[in-house]
Amino acid sequence: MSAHSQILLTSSEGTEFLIDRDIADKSMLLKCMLEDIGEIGQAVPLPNVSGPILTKVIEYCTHHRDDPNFLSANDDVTADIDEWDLEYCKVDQGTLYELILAANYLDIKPLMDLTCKTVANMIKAKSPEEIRKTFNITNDFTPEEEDQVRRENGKDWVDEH
Amino acid sequence: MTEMQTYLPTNTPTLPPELFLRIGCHILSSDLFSCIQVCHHWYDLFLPALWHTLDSNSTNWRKILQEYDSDLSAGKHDEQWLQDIFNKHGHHIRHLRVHHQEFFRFANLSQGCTQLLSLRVLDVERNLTRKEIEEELLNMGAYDGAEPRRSVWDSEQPGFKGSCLSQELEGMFEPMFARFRSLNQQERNWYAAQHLWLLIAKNPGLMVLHLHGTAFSLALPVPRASEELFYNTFAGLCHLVDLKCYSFHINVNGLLGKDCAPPSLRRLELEAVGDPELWTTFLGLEHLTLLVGVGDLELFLLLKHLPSLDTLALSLVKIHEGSEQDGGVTVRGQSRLRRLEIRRTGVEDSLLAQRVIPLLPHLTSIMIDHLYPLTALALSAHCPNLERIEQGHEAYTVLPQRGIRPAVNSLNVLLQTSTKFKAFIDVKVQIEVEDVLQQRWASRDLEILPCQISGFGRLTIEESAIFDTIPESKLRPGCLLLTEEEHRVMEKQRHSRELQEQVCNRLGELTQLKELDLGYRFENIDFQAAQYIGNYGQPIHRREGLNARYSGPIHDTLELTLDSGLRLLAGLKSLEIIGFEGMDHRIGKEELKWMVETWPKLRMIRGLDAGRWSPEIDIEGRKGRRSGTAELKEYVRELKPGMLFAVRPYTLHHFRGINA
Repeated sequence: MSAHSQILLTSSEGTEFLIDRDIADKSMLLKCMLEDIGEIGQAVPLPNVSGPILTKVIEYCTHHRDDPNFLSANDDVTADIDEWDLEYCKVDQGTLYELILAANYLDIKPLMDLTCKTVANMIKAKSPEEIRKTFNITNDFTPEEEDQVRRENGKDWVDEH
Repeated sequence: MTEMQTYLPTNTPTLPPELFLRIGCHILSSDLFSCIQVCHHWYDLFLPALWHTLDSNSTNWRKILQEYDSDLSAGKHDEQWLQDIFNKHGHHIRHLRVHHQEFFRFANLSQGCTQLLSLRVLDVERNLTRKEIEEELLNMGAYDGAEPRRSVWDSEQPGFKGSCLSQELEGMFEPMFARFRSLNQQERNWYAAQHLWLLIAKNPGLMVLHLHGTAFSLALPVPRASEELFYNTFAGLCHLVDLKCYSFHINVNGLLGKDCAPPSLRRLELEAVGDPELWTTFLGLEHLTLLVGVGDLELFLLLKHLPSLDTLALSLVKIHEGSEQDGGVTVRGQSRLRRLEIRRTGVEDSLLAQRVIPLLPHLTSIMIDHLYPLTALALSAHCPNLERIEQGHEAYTVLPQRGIRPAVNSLNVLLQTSTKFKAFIDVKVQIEVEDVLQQRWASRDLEILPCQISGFGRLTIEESAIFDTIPESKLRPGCLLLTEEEHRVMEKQRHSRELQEQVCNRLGELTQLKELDLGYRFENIDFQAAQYIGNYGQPIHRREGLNARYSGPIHDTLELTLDSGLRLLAGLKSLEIIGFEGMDHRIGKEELKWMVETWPKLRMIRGLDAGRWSPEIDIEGRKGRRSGTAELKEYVRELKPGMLFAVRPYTLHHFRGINA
């Protein structure tokens, strides 16, 4: 395997992306595939990932290209997100969800953790009503059901940290 | 909730439900509890995440259980409510941490709680209700004027006669001795113990099982009979990876000898060693913690029989002088051990250095209560991959034994030879200026370096008073208008500054440093040790000045001012913590401003003290000194809000935990 080899990817709309092998290797899916079947010289189709999302994913992998702690980067659940990552996640909710799906499909754990954490931060320390506002959700519980949900799930939770 | 209709809100893009478990693991339980109240759809999405990991302390249930026998409580009603919760959600629970014995019953009786991956039993024995605590205090006569009522403590009182919940438990336990517990408590403990073992038995998928010692004192295990129960239970857990078992009721030899230890086991923590010849059962073991003293022969056998062992933690190693090199056990080259922890060495430096360290060529980190010079020498000779040393004990590292200065400076030898070295944690060593200047840094990757450098030949207070009176016009070499004394002082100052600049130059080469500690304060230090601090390597008649003995700043350390070499540390761009505690530094506003501007990651300053040099402070007045320090801190916080100041030995390690 040459250090400078390149891989061709095709997004769901058929747009082609030429990326360096070490960038592709950030995705466990691509890494395993390339190791198993070798570089076949053909484009790798990614029918589950759209062009704009793939661009975004490649941007992430390129930024963290030389990060020695790539795989353990977001292991610490309580650790703060670094500045670049924070800025990277400033996208609309739809894009964020699509990034989670892409990270899950391509098996890029740090991106998965980062995007999940971002969603988690949108929920953090909010009341149910505040969460509804943030995610634009209508409450479809009757007051009786609300009461039932609280009762059946232990009433008062306190943070374990 | 299944009867409730679920629907998908159209305005939100959807994710597959299993991904919500991934998101859920980044959300605190209290927030997940809010999530399930948002709408029907979110209820379904986040419910598994809410119950996935359950810590019995993360709800107010503990409080409810404390009160449930009081007149105010709904009593049995509350218990039933909790049982209903487990019945409903038990099948979602994967990780359970129990602080309260009632939870064994709730979990065991709920049909669904059979998919646990981890069960951690913490201190459960004395979960007394508020009423019981009151009762106990009365019995002990804890209240003024009250006569102790001893009825419950009376050994004549009949013990509790319990029945067994299951045939398998027949004859395995006896109720805990009546004298120490009320009948009511005995009954609760008795059933809790049974529920615990039944719960373990019905969760064959457990990968992690941690049993605090109190799990075994709820009811008394009957010798031999209960061993069978324990071993059979462990044998049933064929996915077990991590077992912590704090109990002297578990006879390790039994566990080892009966082939019931699951081959999946990777981590084991026990309170006994057993017969090391039997340890071959655990071929795959990677982490072993033994909270007992281990003899030398046992240690060598463990290393021999556990080829995959990566981390070994022992409370105490007992090495006998005069016994054979390795007790006839050939270990050399076989051990892959990368981390060794010894809480208490209990051995002479030379024995550890000669007999144990040479067997561990792959060691990358070591935690030891006291780093002696010969140990350091052995580490540098036999462990080329060493990255990290942690010292548990708070004492001075190169404390001379029996008053003799050690031939080897522990820290210095490692700095010169260990090419992969990264961190010294809680190691406190003094290096001489000459040592720093003569050596080369073996590792340029040093991240944490505590090293107090002294021997700069700085001016004493009297000399600096003379120096300060010399007018600027005469401050040049060879000026003939100076008195002999002024000339000597000026030359001394010039020489000291030169040395300081050279040392700063060397330190500036360590560009990966995250934590640099150039001084420490020593507490509870004895007279002999105090003699050496700040005077290391000095002949007795020259041990002088302000040192730790007088709780004053340590004499003859770096000044750390902009005109004495601080600027040469500008390359330490990763620096997060700078420490100069107890040093005779002359750091003022200019220097602090420079630090904040030059080191972008700096977040902690340790030992900021206006000290004797601060111009706005009266040396004698303690009050004045404090206010000077406060002003400096305020000044730094204006430049960089959130800067932390510490006086205790506070390391990155404590702060965040850097893993090797």
